[in-house]
Amino acid sequence: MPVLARWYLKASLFYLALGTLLGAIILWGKGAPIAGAWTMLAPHIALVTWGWLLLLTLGVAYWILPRWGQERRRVWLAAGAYVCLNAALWLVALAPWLKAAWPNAVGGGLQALGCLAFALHAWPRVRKSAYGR
Amino acid sequence: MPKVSRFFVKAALLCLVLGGAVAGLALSGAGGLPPALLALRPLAWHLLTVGWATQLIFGVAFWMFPHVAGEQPRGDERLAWASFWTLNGGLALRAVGEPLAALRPTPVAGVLLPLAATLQLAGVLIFVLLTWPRVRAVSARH
Repeated sequence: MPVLARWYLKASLFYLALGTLLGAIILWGKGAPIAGAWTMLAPHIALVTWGWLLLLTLGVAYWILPRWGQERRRVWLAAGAYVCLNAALWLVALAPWLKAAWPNAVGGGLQALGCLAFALHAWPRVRKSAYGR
Repeated sequence: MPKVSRFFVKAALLCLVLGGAVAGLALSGAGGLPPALLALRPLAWHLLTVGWATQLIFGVAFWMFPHVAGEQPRGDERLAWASFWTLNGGLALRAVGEPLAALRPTPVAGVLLPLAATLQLAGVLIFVLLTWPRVRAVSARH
């Protein structure tokens, strides 16, 4: 498993744990009210969807999609996507506490850019593998 | 495929079927749904995201991620079972408690939902701890 895939997967596991913690606080609060629990809804959703599910799928895709020999080519696009998506996630997750509109706007833009960068990286790798299968 | 992975994947498929049915009932009508169906909306989302997607990933990751050196190449399988039962126990309690709390708040929900939250969190944390060392460069099998 290459270094960048390990970064993607470890980040996704971290966001799963953090996002589930926030979700657990919200669910706990539905039974025994906790002040401010609902503030965590948007960060919870962002962490478990963009953080956990998306980063995990991108990490596994980076790892297992067909290569050119040992070379993955245009790795900088996948690395750029990793940086953009993580920065976006923190902006969106912290937005409710920053009490401003710009974190969501910038975060949304970075998410779109990160997705585009990863798609450009992965597109040529969706091909016949070296083994012809 | 190890037994615990088969349990994860088959439970994920059951959650997909159940979550799809609940989502069909609770998420399809935009405005005019009766309160009993609206109360099922959070459950529909969580059956699909936790019960289906996350649990499927857990099962496949335990099966296929790189192995570690030692007698237990996938890590301690007892932890994987603990993750399976706590996650699914939490989901089951949530399936009962969440609609109950939304429709008619009772003291029972005040016990069920914190317990469901704690069990699901425990299931996730156990799995993260079990999987973390397997996100590595080379499988010990090769």
